[in-house]
Amino acid sequence: MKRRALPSRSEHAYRALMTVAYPRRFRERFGEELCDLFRDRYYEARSASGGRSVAMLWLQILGDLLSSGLREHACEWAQRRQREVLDTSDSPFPHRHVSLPRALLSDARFALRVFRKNPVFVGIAVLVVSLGTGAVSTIFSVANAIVLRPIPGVTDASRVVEIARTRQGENGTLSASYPYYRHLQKGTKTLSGVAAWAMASVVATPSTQGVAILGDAVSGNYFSVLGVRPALGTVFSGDDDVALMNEGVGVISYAFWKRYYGGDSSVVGRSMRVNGIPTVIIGVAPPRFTGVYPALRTDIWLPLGMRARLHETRDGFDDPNMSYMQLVGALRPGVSREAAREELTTLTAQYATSKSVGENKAMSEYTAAKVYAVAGVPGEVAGAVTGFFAILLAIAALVLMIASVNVASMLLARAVVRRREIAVRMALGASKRRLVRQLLVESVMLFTAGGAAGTLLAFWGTRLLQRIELPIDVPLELDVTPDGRVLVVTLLVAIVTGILFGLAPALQGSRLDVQSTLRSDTAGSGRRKSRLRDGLIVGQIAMSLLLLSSAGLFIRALGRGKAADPGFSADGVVTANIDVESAGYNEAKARLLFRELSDRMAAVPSVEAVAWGRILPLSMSNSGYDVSIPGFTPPNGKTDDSFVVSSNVVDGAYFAALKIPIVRGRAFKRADDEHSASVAIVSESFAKRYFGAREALGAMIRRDGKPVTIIGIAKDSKFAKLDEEHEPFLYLPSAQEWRSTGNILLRTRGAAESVSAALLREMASLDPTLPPPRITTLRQATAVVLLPQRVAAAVTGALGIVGLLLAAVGLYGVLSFSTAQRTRELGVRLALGASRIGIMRLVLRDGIRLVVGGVTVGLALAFLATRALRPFLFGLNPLDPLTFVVIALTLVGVSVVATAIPAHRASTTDPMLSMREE
Amino acid sequence: MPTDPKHFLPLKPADFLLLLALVEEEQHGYALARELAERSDGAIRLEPGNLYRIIKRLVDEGLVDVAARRPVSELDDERRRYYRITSLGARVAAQEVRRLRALLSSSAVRALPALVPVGERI
Repeated sequence: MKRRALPSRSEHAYRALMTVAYPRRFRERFGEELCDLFRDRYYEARSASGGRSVAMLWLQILGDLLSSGLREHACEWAQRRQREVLDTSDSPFPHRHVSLPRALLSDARFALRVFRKNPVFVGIAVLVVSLGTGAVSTIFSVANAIVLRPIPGVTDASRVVEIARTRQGENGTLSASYPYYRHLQKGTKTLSGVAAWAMASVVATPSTQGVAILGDAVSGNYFSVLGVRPALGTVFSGDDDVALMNEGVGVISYAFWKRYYGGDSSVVGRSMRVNGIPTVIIGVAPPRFTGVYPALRTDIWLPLGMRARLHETRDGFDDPNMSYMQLVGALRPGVSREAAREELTTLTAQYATSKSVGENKAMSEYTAAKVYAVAGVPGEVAGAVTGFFAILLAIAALVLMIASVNVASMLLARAVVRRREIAVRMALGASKRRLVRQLLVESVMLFTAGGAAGTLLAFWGTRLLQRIELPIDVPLELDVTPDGRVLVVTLLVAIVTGILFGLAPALQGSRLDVQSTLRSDTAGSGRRKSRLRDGLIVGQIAMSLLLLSSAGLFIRALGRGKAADPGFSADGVVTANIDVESAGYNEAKARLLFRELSDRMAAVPSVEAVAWGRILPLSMSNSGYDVSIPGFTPPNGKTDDSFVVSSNVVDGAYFAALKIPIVRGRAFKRADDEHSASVAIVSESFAKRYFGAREALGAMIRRDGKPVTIIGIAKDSKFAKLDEEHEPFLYLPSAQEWRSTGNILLRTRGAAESVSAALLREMASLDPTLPPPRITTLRQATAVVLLPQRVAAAVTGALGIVGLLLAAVGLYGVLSFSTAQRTRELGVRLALGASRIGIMRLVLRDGIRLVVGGVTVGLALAFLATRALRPFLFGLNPLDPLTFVVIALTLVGVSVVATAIPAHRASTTDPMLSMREE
Repeated sequence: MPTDPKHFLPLKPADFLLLLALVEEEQHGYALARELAERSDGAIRLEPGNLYRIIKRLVDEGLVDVAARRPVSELDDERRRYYRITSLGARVAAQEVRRLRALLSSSAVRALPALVPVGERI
């Protein structure tokens, strides 16, 4: 028996599309079978390689629905026509059977003739549509580059997956250790191979000056698993990472090769220093390959075994506790991600209980595996990033809809103008169906042209977006230029909107009374028609309100985020990341350098305080330490057990430099060094949560079993996220938790520039071979937490203005038009003694009624929709009254202006002239 | 409805392959789609809509009809409809084979190899 699964969402969608695409008779006869077949194809695609195949299937299916649907309709029409002709052949022109494609072609030709006669109309319509499609296309381009586009440079990107281990039922993942990696690599049958890699910031010296670049330390099979072939030379091969341990060899990126070696093909075999280690370049990666996450620009690949020497650390090849690697694998043909996940979970569970994991309880809890498709960003955050882009895309879609409504109103207005032409054609025997088709073809052509122009706009829009500077410390390389996929999607969107928004005007246009129209009776413009137009305007204003209120909420959230008190003071603090570990310093040498640099910087007149912090607060990085607290029961229910607490490693001056008050006890001193007893400072929330009524100051906690005394309690401050509640936090002294990489923090009195210059000077005089650090202010560095809000506020703000203008123009256009239609009526009113104020009030009232309707509907929609923005609002109420009042008033104000102009014009018509006109 | 097989010639490639696929056994839609893809080396891939358009036309023309009996129940999926070739369909397919055979034995086909590179010789 076949598996008969519950209907999926895709199947529901297919059914819905079917009812649109096919004539009823065809559906009744074959509908069920079509669905069966679709379901088979769907499961086939899903089990083949997941999301991408399903997306491809949908593209094919949409094409299929469109082409077979059109032909089937044509068939039905032809048959019906035949019957009609046989029944009543009262038309003066006998019908010829014309195939649909040919009929559409002749419609298109006719449309072109019509367009040529109305270039201004066509120009405006295309421009308006292009604004909407351009917005959609721009946002989609970026989303495409970040989450949809497969890794460039590998043979079969659809089969590459990321693997991570996790605790059963939890989301957080743990990096891989070497033994775990080997366990999977040996055991897997669903993957053709598993490769390991770890990011490594290094300093390379292709010339005399060192450059800080991002590198990857990779397992020997990395390139073969990903299917990456070198552009020049060779890449690592083989499965033996230990053998590669002592060789200084590297593969450089294509961009690095071009930049530092001028694309010289004799580069293979040349040597450069990487973190001081002589390294022979054995190959150049293919042009577009920049590692597993294309958005991060990786410039060198080194053997995993070299990492230990690069960073003065152990390689941990036999240590299950050293978890620092990320895993990628390639699915074997025909294996689904789900099947791989099941197998890897079994292997992971096996590993967790194996002897090599031994006594480490924390590690043995990781018994499940996750398998992600590789996107431009790490699998764990892909969900959040996708959600963010979905919101932006929805907002762009609003702009498109507003623009489409404008065009629909224009088409409606034109249908009125063309009434006589249409009536003549009907009188000559054109069927209503034929006319609707003709009008639809015209609107689809307008929208398609608008879509094409929109894609052009997207080239410009993405360039604009790329100018947003990202306050992130890693080299980013993201090509957001629209590609083929963007073009196809934009055109499809344009065609669909063209049909949707062209349908009503087309139906309206073909519904007219031939006789009265031909008798040139203009009075009967009809109540229905204006009701449709009114509906469009109400919808348009409602959508503008929705659009503007999301923009307003993001802007308010941004302001709120900026004004939020993080618990420390970032103003006046200059900071730089200094990484001497990469430059090959050992601990003793690094301590000396750091101390010397601190002393020299403290002597600079405008520097108030010099401090060190391993991680900068609110900079999107986070670290945690395992601690246990005697007498405290962590969530797993085992008293005295260890759990992870957010933490940072800082020196004694850190609290003063960031103005974080120590409420009780004291800050670290220089005497708290590697030779004295271990100490820690905790946050107030830490003391409250873990000690309750007991005294935390002076109490002892355990870290790796060793006792650590709490010597101070610091005021709470925010560390990872701006909207976090105060989290328990642990500070450890840098002298006791040494790492040769960290951030220097300089609280300054004067201008940041002079301090930056002093820092560069002192660094260079201490060691001229060190790469100059990137100096920034703490304000800038912490701006990264506001990045989503900044991007969203900028994008929705810009789109909001476009939307508002479009809506205003739409309202103005519709009122002008309907006023023009009513010229004679207004003339009669004036002639009969109506006052000019009265006429003006009449027209204004019409406009205001629409605006009020639109604002009401818009508010209702916004109340429902803005909830989706909540994760990005820093606790701001999605129904923030201030935002909504301001936006509603703005909209009303703009609309009143748009209404007042036609109203004024109406009141100044000359009654004699207007009545003589007809 | 025309009953002279010649009336239907020449058959479109997809129609011909579909008729051939039904010669040996009755098939349902999914199997037909796969068979068509296979027999045409992947050149003819039909998604549901276009596949059933062709089936509908062939049924309306009387070349194919819905199978009355069902294959063995274990292999069967209770909802699927099976199609079989009609005698008219078989005659049309046979006529098409005859037409193609005549075409293949024409002098032009015999002279063709001289014009193409060695690797692409028939």
